[in-house]
Amino acid sequence: MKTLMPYFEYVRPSNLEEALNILEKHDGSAEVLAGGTDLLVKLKDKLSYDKKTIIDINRLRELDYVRKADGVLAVGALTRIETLSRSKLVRETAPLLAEVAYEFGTWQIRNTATLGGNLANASNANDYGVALMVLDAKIKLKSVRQEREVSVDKFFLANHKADIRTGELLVEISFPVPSQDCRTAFVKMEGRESSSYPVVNSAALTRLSPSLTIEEVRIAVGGVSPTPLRLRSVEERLRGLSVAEWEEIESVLRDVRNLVNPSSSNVASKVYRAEMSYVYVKRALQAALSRAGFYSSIAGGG
Amino acid sequence: MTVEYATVLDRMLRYEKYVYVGKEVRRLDSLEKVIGSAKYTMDFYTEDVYPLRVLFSSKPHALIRSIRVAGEAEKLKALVLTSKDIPGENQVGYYVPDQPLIATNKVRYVGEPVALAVAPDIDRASAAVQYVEVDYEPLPSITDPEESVKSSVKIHENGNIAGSVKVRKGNVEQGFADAHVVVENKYRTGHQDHAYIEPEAAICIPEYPNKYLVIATTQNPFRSRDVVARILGVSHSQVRIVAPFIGGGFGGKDTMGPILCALPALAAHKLRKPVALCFTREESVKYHFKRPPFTIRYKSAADRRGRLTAVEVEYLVDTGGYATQGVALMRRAAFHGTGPYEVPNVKIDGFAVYTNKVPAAAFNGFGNPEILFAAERQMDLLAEELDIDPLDFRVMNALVRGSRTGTNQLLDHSVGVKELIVRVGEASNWYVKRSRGGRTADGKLYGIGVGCGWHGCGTTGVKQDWAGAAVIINPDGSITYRTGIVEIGQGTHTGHATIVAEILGVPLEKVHVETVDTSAVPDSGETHAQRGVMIGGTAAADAAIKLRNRIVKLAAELLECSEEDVEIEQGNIHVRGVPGKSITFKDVAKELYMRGISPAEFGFIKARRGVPDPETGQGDPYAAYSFACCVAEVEVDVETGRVKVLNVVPGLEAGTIINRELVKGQLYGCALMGQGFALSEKVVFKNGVVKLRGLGDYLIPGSKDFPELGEPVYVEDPYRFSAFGAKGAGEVALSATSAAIANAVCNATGLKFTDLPITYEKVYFSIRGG
Ligand SMILES: Cc1cc2nc3c(=O)[nH]c(=O)nc-3n(C[C@H](O)[C@H](O)[C@H](O)COP(=O)(O)OP(=O)(O)OC[C@H]3O[C@@H](n4cnc5c(N)ncnc54)[C@H](O)[C@@H]3O)c2cc1C
Repeated sequence: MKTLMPYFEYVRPSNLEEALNILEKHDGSAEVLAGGTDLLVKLKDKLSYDKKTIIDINRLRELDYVRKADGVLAVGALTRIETLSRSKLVRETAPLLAEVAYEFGTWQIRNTATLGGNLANASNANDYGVALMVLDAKIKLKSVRQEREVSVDKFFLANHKADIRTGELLVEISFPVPSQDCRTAFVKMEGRESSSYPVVNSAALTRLSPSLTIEEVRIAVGGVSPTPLRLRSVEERLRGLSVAEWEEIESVLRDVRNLVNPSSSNVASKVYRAEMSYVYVKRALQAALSRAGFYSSIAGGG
Repeated sequence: MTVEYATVLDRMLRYEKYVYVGKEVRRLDSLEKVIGSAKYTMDFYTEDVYPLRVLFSSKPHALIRSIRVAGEAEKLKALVLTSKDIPGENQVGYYVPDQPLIATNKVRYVGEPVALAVAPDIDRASAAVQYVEVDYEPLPSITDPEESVKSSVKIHENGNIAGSVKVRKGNVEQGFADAHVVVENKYRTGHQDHAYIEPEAAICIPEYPNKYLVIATTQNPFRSRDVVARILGVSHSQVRIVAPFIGGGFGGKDTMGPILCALPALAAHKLRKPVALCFTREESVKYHFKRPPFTIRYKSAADRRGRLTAVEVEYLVDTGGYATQGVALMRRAAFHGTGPYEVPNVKIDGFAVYTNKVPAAAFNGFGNPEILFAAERQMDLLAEELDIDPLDFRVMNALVRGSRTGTNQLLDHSVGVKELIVRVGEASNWYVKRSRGGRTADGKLYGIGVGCGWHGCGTTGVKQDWAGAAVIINPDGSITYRTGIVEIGQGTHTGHATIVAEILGVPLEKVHVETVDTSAVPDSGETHAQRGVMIGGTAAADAAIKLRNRIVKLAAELLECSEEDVEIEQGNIHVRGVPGKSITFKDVAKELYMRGISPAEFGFIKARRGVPDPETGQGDPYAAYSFACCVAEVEVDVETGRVKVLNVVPGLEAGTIINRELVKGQLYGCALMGQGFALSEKVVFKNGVVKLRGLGDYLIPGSKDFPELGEPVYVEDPYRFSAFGAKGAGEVALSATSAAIANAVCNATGLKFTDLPITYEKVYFSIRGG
C-alpha cells in the first residue's frame, strides 16, 4: 500500500569519504539511513519533516565487518544484527552480542537493522546499549575534520539523543575481548514478545574465583532511565561477595530500584518499571553466574 | 415473505454431498495478496491527486470563538476549508444526529476535525494546517462516565445521556429471593484500538457535472454514500463509493467510513480536483474511534441445584464525544447480557454516556466481549460458591432448543451451545487440567478457564436488515458477481462465490467477484454484525436460485427431459440416470442470450424478526444466534506478573460452516484479539489526549505471544432461513476467548480480577496485595 510521505532529497554515497563530505555539506539538515527500521517509522509519521536530505549509507561496505586484532573486537557500524547472531568470531569472543541478536526483533528486522543504527537512535531501551556497556565498549565517530572515540557509558545523552555531532558518522564499535573465564548474559522483558523496544533489559558480565566469590562483575540496565545505565555502585558492592551469600547479593540488587529513574508510558508505569529493573538485573546476574559455574537452586531459579 | 433457503437449497440441489460448501476451498484473493498485486485505497493515489490534511481539535471540550487563516496559507496554493464550506447538511451522526463532519461552534473531544487543508503536495498541505488559528474558549471537560451522568457540565444540549436500553423479564426480586447464592460485582473494561494494518484512507474524484466517485477503506459503502450525499447536498445517485480490498477493519472502518469519505469529498467538491486523505499511524491511533469502555454492575444468582434464577445488570457505555454506534452496541450488550444461558428473571439497564474523549466505534463483538466478560466472571464465581465445576455449571444452564432468552425470544432451532460446551470440554481435557489450576512450578502459576459467548446475527437489534446481490451469466458461461459486502480480510467474497458456484453448478473459478461499488447493487447495509454470509450470502443465493431455475428450464427443453431430471455439475448439465445425454453450462448460457431470456438477476433479502419492544426489551432482536465456547490455559510468572497464554481451544456453533479454513482464521483471530483485550491492550489518556504514538507502544499480541491454537471444535446446527444454513462466524468467538483467558488468570492466581485488561503489572501488584 502506498502512503503519503514528506518530500526529501535522497543521496546514496558509494564510500565513506563521499558520505562524510555530504554530511559536512548539509550541516545538520541531513539524516543518515542505515537499516531504516527506526527511521522509516519516523518518516511515515512526520508529514512535515525538518530534514531535507536522506543519506543512504548502505553502499558503505567498508563499515560492515567484524574483526579481531590485539585482543580487541571491532564491529563496523553497518553490521546487521543478523550478522552478529551468525558470526563465528562473535560467538567465540563475545557471545553476548549474539545472545542479544537472538532476542532482537524479528527475522526481517534483524536482516536490515544495523548495530550503528541501534546505538545512534539512542532509545533508552536499545538492546545493544546495555550489552556494550558491560563489555566496556568504545564508539568511534568520524567527520571530515576529525575522528574521536567515546565510551559507550558517555555516548547516550538522553532518550533518543546520542553524542553525535553535526557532520559525524558513527563508524565503529570496539571493546577488549573479555578473558576466557568471564561469563555474560542478556535478558529482557517485552510488553509484547518480538516486535518492539523492551520494557526493561539488562546485561551482566561476571568472573568467579574457584571458591565462588565474585571477582569481576559488570551490570547494566535499560528502559528505566533516560539512557541505558551502567550500575557501577552495585558492581562495587557485589565484588568480593561469595555467591553462597545469596541473601546479601539480593539485598544489594534490590537497591537497583532506587538507582533508576523510569517514566510511565502506555506500556508500563514507572513504579512497575522500577520493580522490574530489580527483577531483570537479578535474572541477568543469575544467568551469568550460572554460566560461570555456579549452579544452585537460588541462583538458577526464578 | 420468508423463504427457508436452507431447505429450498437442499431440495433443489439434491446432492448427497456438496461440491464446495463445507469443503477445502482456497480463498479467491490469496495469490493476489501474497504477491502484492491486490489493490488497497492508497494504491489508487497518483501524483495529480491533492493530499488533504485535517486540523484536529486540540481541546477536549471548548467553544470555538473564531477560526482564522493566516495569509501564508495562500502563498502555499493551499485551500483551507471549515464547516462554513459545507454545501449540504453538516451532520454525520450514525444513529443519533448529534455529530458534525467539521466542528462549528464547539468541540467535544481531542481529534474532532476543525478545518481541512488541501494543496498540490503533502508538504504544503501539512504546512497550511499550521497556519489555521483556532481561538478556543475552554470548557470544563469530563472523562469519567459515572461523573458525566451526575455532572452539570453538558456535553450536548440534551444532556450527557446519548441513549438507553431496558430488558425486563419475570421478576428479579423474586429470583434473588429464591436463590441459594447471589454474587454481585462491579466490572470495568477499557478502550481497545483496532490496530488495523491499513490506516484510514479515502480518495474522492469529482466527475462531470456534479458527481463524485470515492474510493475508500470503508466497511459501509452505502452509509458512506448517503453521508457524502448529505454533506454535499446531492442525491444518492450522484455519489459512487468503491471499496477495494481493505487492510483490516474490525468495526473501526464501519464507524469511521462515512466520515473518511466525506472529508475528501468536500474538498474535491470545492477544488474540482481529486483529493486524498490518508491518516498517519499517529493520527490513526490518536483520533480514530475505538472500542468504548464499559462500567458494569452485575448481580446474578442461582438456586441450590445450580440453576440460574436471576440476572440484574446496570452498565454505562462511555461513548465519548458523540453517540456514533455507542448507542447500538449498548443495545446489543443488553440483549446478550445474560450470556447464552436460560435465566427466568432478568432486569438489564444500559446507558450510553457522553464524555470528552474519542468517540465509540464498532469493534468485533460490539458490546458483547464487554458485557460477557462480566457475565462469564459471574458464572465462575457462582459455580465456586456452589462448589460446582464451572464447565458443568455452564452446561447445566446453557440454552437449548425451546429455551427463551433474556428478551423472551423462543429459540426453536439452531441452538447447539450445550453440546458445544461439552465437546470443547472433551477436546481440551478440561477436568484433568482444571484439577491442576493454581499449582506452581518454577515460580509459575498454572491456570485454566472456560468462557462462552453468543452473538445475534445481523443488525436487527437496532434497525431492519437487508442486502442485495447481482449475478450475471455471461455468454461464455462465466459468472460476474456483485455484492455490497466488502472484503476486509475475512474472506466473505470467497464465501459468496462458493454459494453462487454451488447453486449454479459451475466451477468456482468461473465466478468473478467484482470490487464493491454502490452503483452496482441496491443498498446492502454494512459489513458488520456477522451478517456478511448469513444475510449478504443469502441475497447471493436468492439471485442464483432464480437463475438456476431458468437454466434448468431451458436445459430440460434442450435435453428433452423433465426439469426434475436435470442435474448441473461443475459446468456440465446432464439428465439424471441417462449417461451420455448432456450439454455444457456454457451452451445453455449462450442459448439464454439467443432466446432473449434474461441471463442476469438481482437478489434481495430482508432478515426475519426485528427490533424488540422499547419499554420492556421483550421480543426477537435477532433472527438467529451463533455460539462460541473456549478453553484457555495460562501461566503466570509470580516474580513479574507476566501472563503467558499457553493454549486455546476454540469451539463454534454457527450453523453450516461454508468454508472451514476461513472460519478457522476467524476463530484464531478472535483468540489473539481476545488475548489482547483481556491482557495487554490499553489506551491511556492525558488531558483528553490519547497518549499512544503508534503501534509500538500499543500491545496487540505479536507472533511470539501466540498460544498453541487447538483444532477448532464445530457443532453444526443449521439455520433454516439462510443459504445452506450458515450463521455468522466472525465475532462470536471473541467474547468467549477474552472471558476464558480472564477466568484462567483468576484460576491461576486465585485473585478475582474485575477490570480488563489484566496487565502484567496489575497481576504483579495484585499478587502482592496492592
Ligand atoms: C518491528 C521492530 C522490532 C524491533 N525490535 C527491536 C529490539 O528487539 N531491540 C532493539 O533494541 N530495537 C528494536 N527495534 C528498533 C530498531 O530496529 C533498531 O534500533 C535498529 O538497530 C536500528 O538500526 P537501523 O540500521 O535500522 O537504523 P535506522 O533506522 O537506519 O537509523 C536509526 C537512526 O540512527 C541514525 N543512524 C543510523 N546509522 C548511523 C550511523 N552510522 N551514524 C550516525 N547515525 C546513524 C539514523 O540517522 C536514524 O536517526 C525494532 C524495530 C522494529 C520496527
